[in-house]
Amino acid sequence: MENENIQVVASFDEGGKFKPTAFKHGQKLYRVRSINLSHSIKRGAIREFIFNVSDGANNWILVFNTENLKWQLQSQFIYS
Amino acid sequence: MAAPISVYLFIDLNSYFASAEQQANPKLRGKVIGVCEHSGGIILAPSREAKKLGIKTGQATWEAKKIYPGIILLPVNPARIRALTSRFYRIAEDYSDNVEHVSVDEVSVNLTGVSFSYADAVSIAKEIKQRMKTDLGEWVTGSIGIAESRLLAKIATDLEKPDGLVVIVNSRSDLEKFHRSDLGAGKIVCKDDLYDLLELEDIPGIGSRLGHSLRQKGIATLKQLADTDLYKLHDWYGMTGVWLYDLSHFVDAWRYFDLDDRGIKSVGHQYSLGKRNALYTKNKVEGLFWKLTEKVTARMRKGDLMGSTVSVYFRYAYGGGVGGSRRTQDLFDDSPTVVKVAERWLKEIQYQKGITYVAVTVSGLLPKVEQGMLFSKDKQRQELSLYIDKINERFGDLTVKYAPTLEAGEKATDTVGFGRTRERLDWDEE
Repeated sequence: MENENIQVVASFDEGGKFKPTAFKHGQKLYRVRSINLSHSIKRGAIREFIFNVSDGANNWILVFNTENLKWQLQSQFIYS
Repeated sequence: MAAPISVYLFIDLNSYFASAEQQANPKLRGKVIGVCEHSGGIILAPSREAKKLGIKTGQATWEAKKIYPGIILLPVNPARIRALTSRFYRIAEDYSDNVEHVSVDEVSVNLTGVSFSYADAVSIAKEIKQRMKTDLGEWVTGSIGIAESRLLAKIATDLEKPDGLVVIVNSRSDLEKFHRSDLGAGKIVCKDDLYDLLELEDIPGIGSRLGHSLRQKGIATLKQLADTDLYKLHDWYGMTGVWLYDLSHFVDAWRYFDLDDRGIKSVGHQYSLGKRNALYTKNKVEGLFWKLTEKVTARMRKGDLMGSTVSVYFRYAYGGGVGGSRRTQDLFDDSPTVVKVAERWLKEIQYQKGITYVAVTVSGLLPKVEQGMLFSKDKQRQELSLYIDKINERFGDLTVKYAPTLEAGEKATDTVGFGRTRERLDWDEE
């Protein structure tokens, strides 16, 4: 699965921290039930925030790019 | 006020890389998984569930699949590990100014002067466990050991896994006293009882080779080692014998920690491939070597370091290899110089034998000084490295690289080492 641009609803707190609360993928709206892990990485000068989230049934990786302000759904990789 | 006692707290994260994956993806929890650098390599970290089946760290992936064909193999996620390790270090540093980052998943916290009793230390350990749950996640647990020295505290972490909390006390009277006061630790062990609990190889620093050698000399238990005459051990092993004697008496002469603070001594990168993925052409081997070299020299330049010695090793698929060390006259921090120094070994490689391991290390490191380059060629080379670094800093590692590196493809991408790192970590901050 290729990484895909998606629509995300996110909440920001007064301390500047933010988190995704829901996202749309394939015409379906998924509510984020838990954020299992989050961290950020730098690709050159660009910082990306990565959220490993669950909607209660499935796990997803949502990535927020701070340069183009786009959210992406990232594929998970497992060796066969 | 009570007089300060020597108290160390050691934290060892359990099945760290695998637990981090299970934290990120709850569907992996309770499953047999192995984190590896690439599918044909070795298991860097088996999950607790995999360990229970006998799958070990460092085992080849094909061997692990033989034990459990359903094992889920995942690539290591360096960014995630760095982020979690930064948080882990930060938690430890909130409790003492004297914290050693022993490895990516181990810290030693000196609580002397902070904690005035083992009971205090146990309270701190419990608080740390709680904070780990919040900051790292409920699935990333650690075993905590508390004792009078780093060595004993580290040994304590191995006595109860996962998620243990073990105190090693010095005497039987202490043991009785602590049992009565109910410290709330998972386990309290008397130092003298360790001789019955531990094998030779359970002591950090005594590996299988040294253990085998000791057994050949009639020393099969830790107690026997402790009872062996110091001079005899010195005759057999030289200074290592003296160190073994100390270890057997739980004196903190652990080589693991016997590192001074002079900073980074060497920078190295290595990459191993399974026999099935062995490299048989000059271009492929040199490409991988260039890529590893680029990573080494970029780290040196980032740390403002220059080196004088190049060590390389190329291992053949079925035994043997080519390599060595060479010292240069001038200090350097660029890839072409490293490759030039390594040329004699690159020429010696018999490619038909297949290469399964490549390693390059630069040592003899010193802080960078601006050298007046006599030859314009050298000056150009140094300037080129600086411009390459600037571009890569903006657009990402290895965006601009030397052409031979292209042959390495996706091999030797970003990774994270297990060992002690002394570089200033430019790791994730949320």
